[in-house]
Amino acid sequence: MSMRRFIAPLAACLLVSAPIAACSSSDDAGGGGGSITVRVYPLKSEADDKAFWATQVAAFEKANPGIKVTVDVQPWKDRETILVTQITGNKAPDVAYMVPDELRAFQAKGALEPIPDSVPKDGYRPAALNATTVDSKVYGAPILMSVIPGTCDKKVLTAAGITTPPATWDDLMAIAPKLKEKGFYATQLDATQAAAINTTFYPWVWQAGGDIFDQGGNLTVNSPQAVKALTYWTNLVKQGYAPKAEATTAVPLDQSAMAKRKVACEFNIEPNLLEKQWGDDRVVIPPLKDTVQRTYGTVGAYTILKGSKNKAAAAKWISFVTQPQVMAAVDKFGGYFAPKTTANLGYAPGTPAAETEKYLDMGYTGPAVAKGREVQAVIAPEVQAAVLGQKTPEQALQDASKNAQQILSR
Amino acid sequence: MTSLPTQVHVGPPPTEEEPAPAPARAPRGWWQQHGALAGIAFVLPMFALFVLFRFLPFLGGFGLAFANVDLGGEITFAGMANFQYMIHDQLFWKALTVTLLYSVIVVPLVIVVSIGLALLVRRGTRSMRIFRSVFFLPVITSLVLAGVVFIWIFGDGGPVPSLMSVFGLDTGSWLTNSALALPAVAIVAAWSRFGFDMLVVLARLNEIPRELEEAALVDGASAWQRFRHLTLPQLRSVVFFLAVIETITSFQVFDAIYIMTSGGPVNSTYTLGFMLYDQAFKFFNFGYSSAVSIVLFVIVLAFTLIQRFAFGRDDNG
Repeated sequence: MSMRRFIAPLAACLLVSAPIAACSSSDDAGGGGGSITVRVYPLKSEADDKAFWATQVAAFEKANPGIKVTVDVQPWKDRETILVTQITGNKAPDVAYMVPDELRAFQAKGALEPIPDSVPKDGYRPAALNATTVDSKVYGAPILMSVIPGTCDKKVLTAAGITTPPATWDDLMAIAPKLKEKGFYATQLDATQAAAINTTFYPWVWQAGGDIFDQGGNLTVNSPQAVKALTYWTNLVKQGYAPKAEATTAVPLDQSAMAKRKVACEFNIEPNLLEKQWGDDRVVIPPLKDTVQRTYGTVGAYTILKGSKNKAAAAKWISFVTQPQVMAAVDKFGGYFAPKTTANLGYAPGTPAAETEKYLDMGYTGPAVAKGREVQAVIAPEVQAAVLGQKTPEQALQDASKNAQQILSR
Repeated sequence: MTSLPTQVHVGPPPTEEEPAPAPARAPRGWWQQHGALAGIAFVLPMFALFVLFRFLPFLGGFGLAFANVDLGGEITFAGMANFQYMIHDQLFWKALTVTLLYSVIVVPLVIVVSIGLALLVRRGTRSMRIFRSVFFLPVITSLVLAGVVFIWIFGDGGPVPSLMSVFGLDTGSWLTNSALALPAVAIVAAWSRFGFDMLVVLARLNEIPRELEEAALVDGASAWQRFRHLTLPQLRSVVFFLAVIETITSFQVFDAIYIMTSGGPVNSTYTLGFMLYDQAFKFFNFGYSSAVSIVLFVIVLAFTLIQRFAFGRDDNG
């Protein structure tokens, strides 16, 4: 073969590898001087959030002359991708909002600075601060908390003649046949790879009394409790009590059975996020219980990126925004809850927000494990395999354990 | 590269009246040839951009494959560790299998459809020109947007499963079926690509002299015989080009899968391109992701060379 004939396909193939390598290129930039950039994600909508933060920034800059703050509101979707690309390109913000498993992953890769002592840490709920602490160092200053209790669609319950929403796994299974008879699903499950399975499947394992990792960080995904949870899931799908498509494919929420008002109760999404789909028909119920009453609850926190050129100003911003009165304004604006007991939100009694707040202490994020997200990615397809009937729950979780162990051993 | 022949004097010896022959001219370099510098001037910017944005990043990625990269900026030499891990990584082998399977489905599909449609819209009538535009529309349509529509088309109660049930095939949602999810994504990818390929084939078809076909027609050749023995051989170079391009594209598939299946169900649509993304941007394993990209590069190169030999050495058919 002539050189020309070799080089032409070679050159064409070079295109394949370029995108990944491009991410490793470096560029000189940073938030030096008296300015910082803060990365946040919409608590309401991009426009509303920008207006809200403009007010907070003005108050901060007035109290801290010489420091200029730019709040960058980015979409939730693919937020890690954007942030990682910016970090590798030396274009990262100084401060970024993160949830605990995300924080742990970035911290393990050396991207975060501990929150300095100058940032007040008094008044926090212990669970909030624990969720952002790694090896006794606080890497995130909590700004909000959320919890996913259960939400039922009053319209569906009424149509099926159900007067008492489910409180336990047995209750849910008991009302399911009646709902099916009327053309409804009892619930909607989600084990898609796009989903954060720690918010969808893990809570069922917790409710069965198990966990994915024990407190020592050892993998326990194939425990009898996890098998019990997965068996329960497969039964729901097998008997037509939960839609199969939504459990295994990333069906957009607006195209899902839930949006079509075909689902009685769901346990994957915060009630405030269902306002568009279910409106005033939302009935907030306590987290389900098998042997333990527990659900997913997260802590949103501000972190300082290692590449920040102005860590002192970043710390001042975090101190400002986590003051009880500012924190309360942030959480009230977004419909979330305050990690500081001293921040009073004053949600009106009876509203979905006030009802949800009652279950804040039942929220759990699971043990912080550096490769927790990577492990989630091997558990999700195995859960799908069980839901689709391709594997028994025991076999699926055995395989998940084997694949996860390989990741953890790297 | 050729050089001008030196002048050789073969006549009688020169007399005093005759001028002495000019001394032999030194060979001219390629850069001295007519138009060479202009050609270089035109090519150089693109070449520089290619080196800057494609080749150098590729070298960077090649280096990263032998390293572990910290988001704090620390890079440590890892030797062959990433490749050794890859050998035992079941997910890698699964992704490789899915990628190969996907390519086997989508490359022939898109080429066959493109040739078929190009033959149909070959005539330059007004209505055919409209069809050409319509067939090209998917190329300029956002695959992300189309993906959402195709979720409905292949999903539970969508047109495709409903059509299947008419024929007694109860497939349910294609996207939750491990055997049908990949073909569904392949069909969407082919849908988004055939318009471009059709134009390439059409351009070549229009170069084929009509007289050849008319002569075959006079000789009594059937439509299939004319296509098989006359048109198809003329399309060999185009088919090779499309096979290479489509193979490369299919190995890099990402967006349709990202939107429609996220690699599921049960990893049945989890391709190497998706794995690269996950490893780099979800799990921050840049070294391992680069190692996978190197393997992907070698596979694509090998396939391209194999296709090169399979289609013969004569580009012009």
